[in-house]
Amino acid sequence: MGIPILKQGTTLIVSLQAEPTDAEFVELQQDLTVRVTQTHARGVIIDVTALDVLDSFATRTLREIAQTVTLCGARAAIVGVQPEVAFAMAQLGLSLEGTLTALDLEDGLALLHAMPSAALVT
Amino acid sequence: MSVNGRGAMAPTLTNAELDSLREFWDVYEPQFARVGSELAEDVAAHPELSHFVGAGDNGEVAENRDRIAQAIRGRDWGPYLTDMTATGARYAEAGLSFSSWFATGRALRSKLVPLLVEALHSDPERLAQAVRGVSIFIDLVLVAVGDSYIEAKERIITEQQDVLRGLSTPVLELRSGLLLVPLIGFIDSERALLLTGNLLEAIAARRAKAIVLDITGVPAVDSAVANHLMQTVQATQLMGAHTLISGLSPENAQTLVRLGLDLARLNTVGTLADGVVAATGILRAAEARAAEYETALG
Repeated sequence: MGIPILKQGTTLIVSLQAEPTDAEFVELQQDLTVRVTQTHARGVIIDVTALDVLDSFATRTLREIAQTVTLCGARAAIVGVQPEVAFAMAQLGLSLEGTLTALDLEDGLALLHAMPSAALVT
Repeated sequence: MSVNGRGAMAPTLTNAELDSLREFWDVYEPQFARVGSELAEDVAAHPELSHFVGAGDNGEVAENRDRIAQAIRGRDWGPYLTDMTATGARYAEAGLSFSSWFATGRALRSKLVPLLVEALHSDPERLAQAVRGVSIFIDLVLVAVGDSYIEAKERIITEQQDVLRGLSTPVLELRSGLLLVPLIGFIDSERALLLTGNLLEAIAARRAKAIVLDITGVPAVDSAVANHLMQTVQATQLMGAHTLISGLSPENAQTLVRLGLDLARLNTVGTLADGVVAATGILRAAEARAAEYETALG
């Protein structure tokens, strides 16, 4: 059983609890892409509130997930990056550029709701 | 001879040094109270010292004498050096200058040597040893006091640095969700890290959506400072906030362009006022989104 993906309306929500292994991250990427296509989801939210570290592999995978999801016609937002995590990432030069970010799940949902779906962006 | 580490540690003394100390103490001990009161009179005339060094009552003088006796005869320096360490810390906190404290050492020496000469002038060898003992004793005391004096000064400096650091990066809440960070003075990497940390904590605590980083008061912006600012901006973006930088002077702007830095991500606006207007726009948009989403939820 991989990381659970919840569906709320047209949004898929993934709440990462413990720091996923690299393999789990890869699996999540595949699962999410399939689910977006199956459910015609408009948005994907990945909540990292519980994580106290995001290394370079995690950062890259999150960026890739966002890009893949965008290609499938939805928008992805990473939410809940903790201050210490953001601090460490900036120090290491890791960024989530090109992905949407929000303070928490609530803000993320509002952000995605306000976004036109990727296909409509010219 | 050395006083290892912290002032209260026992000094390592050779047997010859101990003999010298004992020779000197044999003469000094009976005269201790008298020399003490003479010294106190001299000190009272000293402009700086008079505020700090009291004559002390008879009980204190006797206690002090016993502590020295315990050190020299009983080789137990703990109580005496602990007392001297406390004295040094007190002087540092009171702002007494180092030279004034040394002056008391000098005064003590000039009082003691005539005493020794008077007592031992018939035996030059013992006299020489006793004079050496005076030097050893005064050295030990000055080192103990000096160590703790410097330690206390350093502690004061560290405390003040902490205060200044806190002052140097204030994060102000202009309105709910909008933070203002006015930066004044040079930005080094330590300050930049502190700023980023404080700002990120503030974003989490106040749920900030927009930040204006005003650098009007930063005299020079070079590539290092620009990189620091860029890191700060990126870190805030990771938390879903938007950071605008205002107040970049024309000179600094030219410098940055000449350095060929990619500044697109810095999100610069003209003045602080422009920054606040733009940030308010960002905030309004975020609030509108939230309201719209709430309506959609019904």
